Amino acid sequence: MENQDQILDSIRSKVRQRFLFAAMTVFLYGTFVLCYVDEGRVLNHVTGDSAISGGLVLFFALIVVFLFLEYIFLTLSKDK
Amino acid sequence: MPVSSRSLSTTALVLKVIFCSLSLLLALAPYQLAWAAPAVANEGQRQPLNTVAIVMFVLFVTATIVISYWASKRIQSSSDFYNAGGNLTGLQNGAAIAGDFMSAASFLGITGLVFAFGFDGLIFAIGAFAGWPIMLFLFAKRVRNIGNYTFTDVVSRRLQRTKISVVAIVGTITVVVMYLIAQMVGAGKLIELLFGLPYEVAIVTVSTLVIVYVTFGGMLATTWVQIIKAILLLLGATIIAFLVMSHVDFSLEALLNGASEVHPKGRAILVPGVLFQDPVQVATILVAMMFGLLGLPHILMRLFTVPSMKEAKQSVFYASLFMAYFYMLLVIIGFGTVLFLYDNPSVFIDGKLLGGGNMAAIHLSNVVGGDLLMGFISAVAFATILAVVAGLTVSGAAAISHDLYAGIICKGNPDPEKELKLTRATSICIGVIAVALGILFQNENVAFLATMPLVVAASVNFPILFLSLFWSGTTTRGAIVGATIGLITSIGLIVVGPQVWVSVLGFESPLFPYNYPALFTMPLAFITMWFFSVTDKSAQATLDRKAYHELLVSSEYGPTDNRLKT
Repeated sequence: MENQDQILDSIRSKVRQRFLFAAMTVFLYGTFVLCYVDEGRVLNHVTGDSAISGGLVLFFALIVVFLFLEYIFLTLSKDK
Repeated sequence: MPVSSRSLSTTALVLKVIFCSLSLLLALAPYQLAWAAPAVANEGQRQPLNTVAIVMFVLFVTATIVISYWASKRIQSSSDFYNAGGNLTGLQNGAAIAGDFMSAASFLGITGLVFAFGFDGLIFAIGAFAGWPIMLFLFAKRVRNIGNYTFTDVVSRRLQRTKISVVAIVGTITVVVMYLIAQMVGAGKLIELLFGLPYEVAIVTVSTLVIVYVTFGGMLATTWVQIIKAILLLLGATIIAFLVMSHVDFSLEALLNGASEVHPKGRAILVPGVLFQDPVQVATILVAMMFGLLGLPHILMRLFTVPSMKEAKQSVFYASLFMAYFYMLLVIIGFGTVLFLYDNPSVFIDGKLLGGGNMAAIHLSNVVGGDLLMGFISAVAFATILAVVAGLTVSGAAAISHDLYAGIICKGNPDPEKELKLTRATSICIGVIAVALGILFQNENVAFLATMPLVVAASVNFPILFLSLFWSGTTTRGAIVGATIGLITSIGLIVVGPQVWVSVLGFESPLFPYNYPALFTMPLAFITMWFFSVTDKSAQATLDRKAYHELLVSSEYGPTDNRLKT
């Protein structure tokens, strides 16, 4: 039987990792609101002649970043 | 536990009768449609019958009924019925999860919103996707490790089973019924448009088919219907997106420019602000969608259909991959509807899109791919709805038969035959309720409708699940009071909000300004749970807190782990 403190420490470390990834996701997700406030001016306008707005770029970027975070999380979990 | 052979032969007999009845119904369809056609012309709301669509539609229905028949032969126990035996691979389950979640609201509703309002419709797409990483990080492994069939199993593991189960069942049934509304409205509109059948007849047809799948095929049939549907939906969306892009030389820039030239709002559709201007309103949607997903009982239930925690995590990742691709395609399809439909008078009647905004994707498929593609996409959209409704029905039925009957009434020792019978009876009841609500809410946008149950899930199920898994201080009393407050406030504020108070009930102005109050009700539920837990000095509270460490180890290392046991 393993030492109980070691087991609990290991679980705490995993929980910290879970919360870190979750917090990053929630934070990044929250940036979408910037499209609707003055502070996010870059996101709520089309730039120059381009029809692709900052908001649309953010939309695609968030999806890709979320997938990447999932991949890293799975990889780290596999190592443990 | 095996079900008696007599019960199985009865099942097979009833299934054969239904199969024959449906075959007869389908054989008579042309005559019914010929009868229905004049009514269509008179109402001016439906378009001419699409033979290809009808043939594909019939093919799909036949295939799914055959799957249900095959699955019914393999159902030997409650486990087979609720979690398909728990032996799916991560990839299969990931496809089924994607099939379960990429609903009519996503495909028809979000496309309809982009068609009408441009960029703002994409809020629902990012919202629908963003909960999946959190599902992987926080719940996939832990929920899989400590539950059996439903999320009620998970929350009742360390809290007092009877009391917390009642709350979880109420939360599950509320969410399932509300989610069904969106799917039924989408199904009704689609069949009304394609077949020229009255809306009410359309949703009765859908409900009947789903009852057949679920009653006889359980989760196994539901899973395979969802997998097939996910493949078809991704294929159909890819074809439409490819054809749209081929018209604009595969330039997203050209697509967006072209769309903004024909839309009445011009270049405003390319940026945020046409539908939503208030950042708080946007935040309410984002919060409801992300955290609501984490409390959806029919999605959480899918985590139990795989044999291990590793497969559970992989299935969420695969599901995310499928959905990421799908929601990116929706940008092209959404703006494609703008580009190809606004300049096309044949899809408008009295200035309104034929069949309503929810049908924009279907019209687009006709414009870029003709009758053949429209037929295929219509069958896919119909498959989408059937798969999601089937998943919801299994989840609702499990809440009553497994959580209530087996867990509470029979104290965990039910008669398996009676439990299965009750599951099937509950499936029929849910089908009837879905029809009634589908009629009541028939004029609402399906993306709006599908977000409402997410508010309840975020305010009731998610807080209970999260705190019971991650906070040792959670007590039964705290969880019950918090969930009750979350349920009452979320439903109350939805009812007095614009979508129900004004659009459905006909009042002039709403009593609460936001449609999706999860931004307020979810924190309220958390605070209430925290307060009533920390002030709980009862003997049960001591037991609840003590049970946390055992749950912690089980949830991380698996249910059979005994590292902390002495």
